[in-house]
Amino acid sequence: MKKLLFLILIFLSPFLFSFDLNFNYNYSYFYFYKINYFSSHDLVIDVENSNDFLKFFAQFDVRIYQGDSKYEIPYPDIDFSIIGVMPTYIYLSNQYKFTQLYLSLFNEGMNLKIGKFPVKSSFSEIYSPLDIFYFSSPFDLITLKEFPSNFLFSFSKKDITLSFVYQDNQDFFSSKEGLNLEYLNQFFNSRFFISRYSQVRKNLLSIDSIENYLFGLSLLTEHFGPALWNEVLILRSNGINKFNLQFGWDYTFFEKFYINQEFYINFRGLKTPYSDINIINKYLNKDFLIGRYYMFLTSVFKVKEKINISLNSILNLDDRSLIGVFNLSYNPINNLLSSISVVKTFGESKDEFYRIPAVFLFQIGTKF
Amino acid sequence: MAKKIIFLLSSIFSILLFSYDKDYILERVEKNLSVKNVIYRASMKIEDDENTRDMELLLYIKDEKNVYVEVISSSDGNRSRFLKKDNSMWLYLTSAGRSVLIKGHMLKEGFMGSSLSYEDISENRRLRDVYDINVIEDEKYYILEMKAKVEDAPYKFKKSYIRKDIFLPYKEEIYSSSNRLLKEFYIEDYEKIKDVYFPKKVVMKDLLQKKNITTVEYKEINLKDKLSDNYFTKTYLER
Repeated sequence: MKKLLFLILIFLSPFLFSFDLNFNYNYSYFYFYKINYFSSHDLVIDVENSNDFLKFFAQFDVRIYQGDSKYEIPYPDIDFSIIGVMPTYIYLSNQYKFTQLYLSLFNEGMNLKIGKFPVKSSFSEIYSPLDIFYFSSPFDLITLKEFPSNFLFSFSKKDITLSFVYQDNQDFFSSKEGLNLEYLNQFFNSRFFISRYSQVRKNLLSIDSIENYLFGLSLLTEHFGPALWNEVLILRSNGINKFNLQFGWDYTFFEKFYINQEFYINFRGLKTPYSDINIINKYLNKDFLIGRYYMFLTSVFKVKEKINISLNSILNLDDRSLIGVFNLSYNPINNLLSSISVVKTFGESKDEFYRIPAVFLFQIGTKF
Repeated sequence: MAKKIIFLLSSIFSILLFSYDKDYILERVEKNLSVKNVIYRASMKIEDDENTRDMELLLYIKDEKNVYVEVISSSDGNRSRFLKKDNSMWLYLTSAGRSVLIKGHMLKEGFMGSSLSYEDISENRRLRDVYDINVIEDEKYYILEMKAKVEDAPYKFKKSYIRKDIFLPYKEEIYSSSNRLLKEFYIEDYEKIKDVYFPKKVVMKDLLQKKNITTVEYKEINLKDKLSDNYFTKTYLER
């Protein structure tokens, strides 16, 4: 499929005479308190061309790291090197990648999209298990995000939209497919989502492939003032149903203070305290959240026209550990944005968000 | 005596002939301001005390419940698409591959940093559906004093100075609930198409900021018999 896509793009490129070109440059400086520091230059180039039935979009990302880019800080009381799970540090290398690259063929009511592009199925802002096609942690400020290859067919009739997504992963068994039905309604916008995908699960003794079926129902309304939403999700694997529930609200107070709060309950999540095996399995499978009860918070305070303060956090309500990003951004002139962020965790040595040294990030960027 | 009768009769006739009743005036104004099935191509210029930004817009307006707005290019590289369905407005984020609901409380914020709000850009309801209107007449204008009668009205109170020849506002004054003048809106040019007077160049001034002036020029106005429902769908927005 990737080769076919490439051939189509090569064939079409001579016909794409004029296009919009945007550049976004960012310089970032990372400082891990009393450990190390490094910097990166990041240039993102967007190319877009479209007419009444065809759109081509490419996003190319060049990221050059300078300095000592070791940053992984493992759980302090678990020796991963003995079991060979994780190296002590991960070295970042310079990257040149198409992070998005797709062709979209459409008429008024239908759309066929092929290539690398993001697909999101949930209403939630920070995390939802419904987002099986792509998920990146909002707290990962370092890694370059690259979207996987998808095939999407979408069809709308008035307020109803039906979409089919197929994600082309490297082997057939880890490919994913999903069907999304959305109904726009002034009282309750609703989405029904069904999908099938296989997942490789590892533990210290074996590797297994598990087939999952996922059923989700999301509702979103702003009929009562603040926006309210909830998601109910059932993940069926090996004949066992796993229930997840999410609900949230958001509102802007006095046109200055925005707050978005979500609660997430994973009824099959692990109980605290987490064992060493639980933590090792989390690393082996790259699980994002392993507990049962969580609270997500996003808040933005507009201090002045060009100064914003924001706070994003995840609180594990079982072990009461927390990860947070505090950000102060200043936009001195148009096309120039500067910001300072601090990432900090609060927790004990075997909590989900165990204590790590604070990470400071300074960014300055421009786009044109 | 005959002269007096003729004068009296002619005065009565002139009142009947040349002074319109409130409903007639409002109908004519609404005919110009709440046009259905129309496609606009427009340029928007946003000036503040530091710099100037330009953007090109495409607007599809089917009726008061179905509006589609696309920023097709802008000098700062920001492109975006908006869909208004009923009272909800969706914004498509290309980088995230998703559309998000612009919640009711955020609709009053500036559209792409301009002094026009998201509501100003997408509002197409009849004035009488949104405001209680009192009409006053002076030598030059019909002055409409509009008080919000529905909760989701864009403004609590505004005053509109309607030109008597074309039934388009020359100027609008927008006030806060405490009667403070917040914004001024001017229609500087217009074009007549099929008995409808379309604003051709409009200027919005945000008086709470030192200098924040937004000018919209409608370069192409394409009045259709019917606009397809398919433009006002999630599929078209997220294409």
